[in-house]
Amino acid sequence: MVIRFSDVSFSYSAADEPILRHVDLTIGEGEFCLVVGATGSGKSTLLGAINGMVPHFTGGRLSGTVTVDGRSTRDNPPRELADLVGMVGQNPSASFVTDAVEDELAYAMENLGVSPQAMRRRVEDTLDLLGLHELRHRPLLSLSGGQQQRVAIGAVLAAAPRVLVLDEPTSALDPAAAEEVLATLTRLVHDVGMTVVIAEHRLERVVPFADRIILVPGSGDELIVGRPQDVMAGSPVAPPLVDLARLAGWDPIPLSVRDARRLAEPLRLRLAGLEPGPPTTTTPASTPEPIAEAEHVSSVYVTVMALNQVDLRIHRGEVVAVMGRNGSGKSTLLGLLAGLRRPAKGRVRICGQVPGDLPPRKLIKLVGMVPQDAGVLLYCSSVEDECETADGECGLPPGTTAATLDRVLPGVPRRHHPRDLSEGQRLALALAVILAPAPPVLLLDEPTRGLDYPSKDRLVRLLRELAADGHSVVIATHDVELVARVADRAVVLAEGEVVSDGAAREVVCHSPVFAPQVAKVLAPEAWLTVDEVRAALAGSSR
Amino acid sequence: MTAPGRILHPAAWWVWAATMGVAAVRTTNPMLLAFIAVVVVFVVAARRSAAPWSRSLAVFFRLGLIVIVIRVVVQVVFGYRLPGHVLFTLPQVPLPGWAAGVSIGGPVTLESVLQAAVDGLRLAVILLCFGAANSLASPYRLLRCLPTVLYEAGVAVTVALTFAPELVITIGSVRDARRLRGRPTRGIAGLRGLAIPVLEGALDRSLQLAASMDARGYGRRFAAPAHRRLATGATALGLLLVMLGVFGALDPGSVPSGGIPVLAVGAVLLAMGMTAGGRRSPRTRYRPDVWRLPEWGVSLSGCAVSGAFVIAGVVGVQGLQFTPYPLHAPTLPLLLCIGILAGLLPAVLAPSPRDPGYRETDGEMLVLAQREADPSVGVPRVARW
Amino acid sequence: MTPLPRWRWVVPTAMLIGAAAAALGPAGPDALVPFKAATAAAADSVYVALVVDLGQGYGGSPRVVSGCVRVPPGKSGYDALTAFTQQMNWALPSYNNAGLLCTIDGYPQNGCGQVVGSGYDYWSYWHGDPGTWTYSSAGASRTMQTGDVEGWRFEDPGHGNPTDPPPTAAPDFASICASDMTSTTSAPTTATPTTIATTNTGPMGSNPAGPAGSTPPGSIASSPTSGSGQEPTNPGRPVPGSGSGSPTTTRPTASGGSTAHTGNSGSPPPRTEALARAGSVQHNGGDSVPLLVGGFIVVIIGCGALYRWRRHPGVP
Repeated sequence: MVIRFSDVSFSYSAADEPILRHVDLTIGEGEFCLVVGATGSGKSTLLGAINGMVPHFTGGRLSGTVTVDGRSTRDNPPRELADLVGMVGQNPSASFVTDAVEDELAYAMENLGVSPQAMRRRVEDTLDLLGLHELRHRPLLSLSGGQQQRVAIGAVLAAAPRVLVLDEPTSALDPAAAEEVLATLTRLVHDVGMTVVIAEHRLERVVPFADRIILVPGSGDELIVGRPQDVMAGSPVAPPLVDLARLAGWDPIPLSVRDARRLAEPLRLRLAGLEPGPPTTTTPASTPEPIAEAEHVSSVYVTVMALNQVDLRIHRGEVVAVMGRNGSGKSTLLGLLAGLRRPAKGRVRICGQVPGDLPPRKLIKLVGMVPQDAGVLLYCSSVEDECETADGECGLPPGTTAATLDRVLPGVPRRHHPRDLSEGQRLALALAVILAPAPPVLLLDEPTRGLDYPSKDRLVRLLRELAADGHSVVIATHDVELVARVADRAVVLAEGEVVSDGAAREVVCHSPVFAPQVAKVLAPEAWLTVDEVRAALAGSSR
Repeated sequence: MTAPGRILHPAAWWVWAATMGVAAVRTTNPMLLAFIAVVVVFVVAARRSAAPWSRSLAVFFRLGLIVIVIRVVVQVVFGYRLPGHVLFTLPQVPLPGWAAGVSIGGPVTLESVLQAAVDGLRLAVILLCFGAANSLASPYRLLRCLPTVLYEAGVAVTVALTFAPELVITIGSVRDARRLRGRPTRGIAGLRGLAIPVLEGALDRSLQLAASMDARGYGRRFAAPAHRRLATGATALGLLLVMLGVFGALDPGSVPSGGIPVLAVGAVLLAMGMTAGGRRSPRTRYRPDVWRLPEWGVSLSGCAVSGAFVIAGVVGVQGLQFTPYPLHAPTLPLLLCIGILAGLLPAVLAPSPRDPGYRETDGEMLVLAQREADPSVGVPRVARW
Repeated sequence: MTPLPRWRWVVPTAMLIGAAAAALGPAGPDALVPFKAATAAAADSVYVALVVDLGQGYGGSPRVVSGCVRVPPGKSGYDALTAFTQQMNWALPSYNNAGLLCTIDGYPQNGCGQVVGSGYDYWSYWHGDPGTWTYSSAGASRTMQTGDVEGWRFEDPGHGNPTDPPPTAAPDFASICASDMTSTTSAPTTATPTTIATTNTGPMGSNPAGPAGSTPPGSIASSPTSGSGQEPTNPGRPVPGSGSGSPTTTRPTASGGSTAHTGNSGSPPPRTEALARAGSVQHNGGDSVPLLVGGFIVVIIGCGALYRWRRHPGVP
């Protein structure tokens, strides 16, 4: 028995509702434990309690005891448990203390007072274990996201803890890098016998690896703990694969694409010959003038071509997904379209005007962009103030933004500070603020980072409505499920150049990296989402 | 000379750069100053690594140019006129009697401009030496060399060093966010409304960093806190007094009795604090930098240069100082120049920087990956150096 | 890895700098000094009498030196002082950043305008009117006219002077400059305005041949202007004022034979021996070779640094 929660309740203050209520939980040795739940349900709190972060660092009232290997977090603040529990956050670069990989790995051991010889040995072992030996002298800022996340894991690993706690480690990573990190974690569990507790939103990546799933329903309800198949069968948050399994009535619920394909033969037969819904794609030849276009744009970052002769045309009512690895230039392209930068070569036009030359007031009526960190757009001290300021600045009748917010996400508390809102609520507020002047072109940069499935559903619905209203939407993302559900067209960038540009279905379906789970299961048929399958089945059964 | 890839002890670079700076202080001969400057730049060019701070020399170079310009402008507007060839005359602003020592406007002579330019050049060369030390010595490794008693201060400075580039990026993204919200980004209106979001972002990041450091054992098991605090306090006070004493020694008359007693007291306090605080520290050090022959070579080469200048000053070598009036070309004491060439030794003695293992453009692309969140990617920048 | 076009400009620039340095060389450092433009006939020059009193604290002798200098019209008192020091073969006067005169002939050795007790050690400036000295609180920037008497006295309050006393020689233009003025009119040979361009044919310390009629160094001035008070000079030392035959190339139009009127003692100022100051006096034409060589080395090292900088850092 490594981790034990005994009747643990926690609330941030006496007045608030308890986030965790009477939690009794045991996590055994060598388990890969996945914690799922909606945002704000208490996943991070649960993870923080293992370490002692909650309540020593975050404040609040914790009753009951959490013991890790016999040591209680009541008496031991996180630094005393550092040799037992290692914690890795979402944003690895925010946790780096030194500048080189080797020094970062040794930092925890220095704090623990490990002898220099032992430190040397352990650093070498950690480098080997995580495949970082070629990177050992590299400055941390020069590593890719996946490498940085591995270094962050290594930094806590070098202290030889017995438990590894990770809070959304793959949210910032592209699919390939996420695979890297998850494979490393699996290896740690199986080869080293470590206990790994991980919280994730994008379940489709992690569920196949988990030994146990802890579902945190939120609002203090009882945790549901069990085998993945059992928990997923009834879970409100589930990856598309599980939805498909429920739809098709598979039992036991398959958790990986391989298992699903074995059960999918009857479903494939039923779907043979059915069309996956009305075609939503519009080929460029048949459409009118593009509403936004980037012609042969090149953009330079220091001496590197961030974008090299990229062409992009966007038409009215189209939803375009721009995909690619981190560093392929997605954000740069969006920045050019939003008028934040001027291209070094080529030109950008939106509705005939050059966005880079427009003053901000005119720009917001033409194109709206929500950057990766939506919170950076919000700078008032309450939601109410934010809406009013947005109305005033855009010259809109008062109440427009508030009405837009209600349309995007009803029930956002008006008095809260924007930084106190959940991810989904913050994104909704940012969208409301940007959409209030009704720009014809909307740009979203990684909107689904940190969003749970219900929020994602809402976003998908909203984007569909906007497209139907005539707005054009460009999304830079590597969330393939989102692309599958909402995009008409997909553009793939690699190293600043366009690799493929076409109907979303064609681009995404047969790619091993970008294919959604449903497509992988039902290959070679080109089905993207569970909704399509459901609609087709319903249509055929009539 | 040594295995390529070994990193020279950062203190050695600082000693070398400081002594070159001391040499620059002792002369106003523009040719000698130029000599020191090119020697310093050559060593930096030969031995800098691919790390991000290795480009800081260019910043200090530009700063030095700005210093020269400011110095000349101040002299033109405010300075006393050295006699000589009048270049042009500014309208003289009459000042009241109590400001009798100051003049605004008046004839501007070539001599006074040259005097100011040479003065500024000296400051610029000192800045260049400082920039060279910044470029060559990793600030993080320098902080790791601090005695244990000053560990917390060292950590604070390290974190600040990590934060500064992040802050620049945050400012960029906040500015873009303002543009996206339709607010002005230029001018005074652009500056207001930048502070709060940037500070909020910095606060968030610092909290994350604090949590991560706490989770990795920072601040663990410190025995006898009162005892350590005393030692840290004594060290800090000692450093302050030493600094005051050195200032007094360099500028006679500013500190009573030349600053020597202050220096002595400070040194004693420092020694006491460091010995007391150095024992019984629970932290260990991973692969601390060693001080070997190359370090000695580098430090001593710098000391040789400054020693040559000090001796030249004492002996009375002609050409050490530049007299603008009357105007004539400066002489150049050749032996002293050869002494300055000793400052080139680190380009040979120091271990050559290790191959970073990736092409710089790759590194930039990967940095790009990290900055995907930051819309300031895509800005064409001026040539790096 | 370094693409050639990027630093292709370095080589032509280096050549340009080298060519400029070479062109400058033969002209010598004096080419930089427009002050030494050719002056017109002697009649245009201005005669100024100068008295320099090194103050009571001065241990050597002579303490008061006076002499007559001839400067082109339009020059200031500073220029006259400089001419005087060159004429006497002294070190040039030095100034601090604020324009305050610090040293004449290297005296005082340390400090410039230091606070001493309740006063200052500094060089005070006096203007001589017949029979009296007038303290001048403005600097010596006014244009000199023939007949001006300039006085400089080093005030050192530590030696008991209650107020700023004037120089202890009489402000008598006629007596100081009489010989010079008469010599100008009578001896055309020695009264050649030295256009320094002619005296600086060689930068290598060669003793430029002075204008015709100048006396070789070391000998007693045989010009008819050697009037009263011509003392035997130390052998080997150029006689003060023995014409532009001395190796100093930056001498303005000092005519031959201006004498050093000493105040208290009769010997020519053995200044260098008495003071042993820092910064020796000789300003000779040997300046420019080290300068050229040094400049060349600077350019070489600079180009090397530039080239190295452009290369991929981190690659040995």
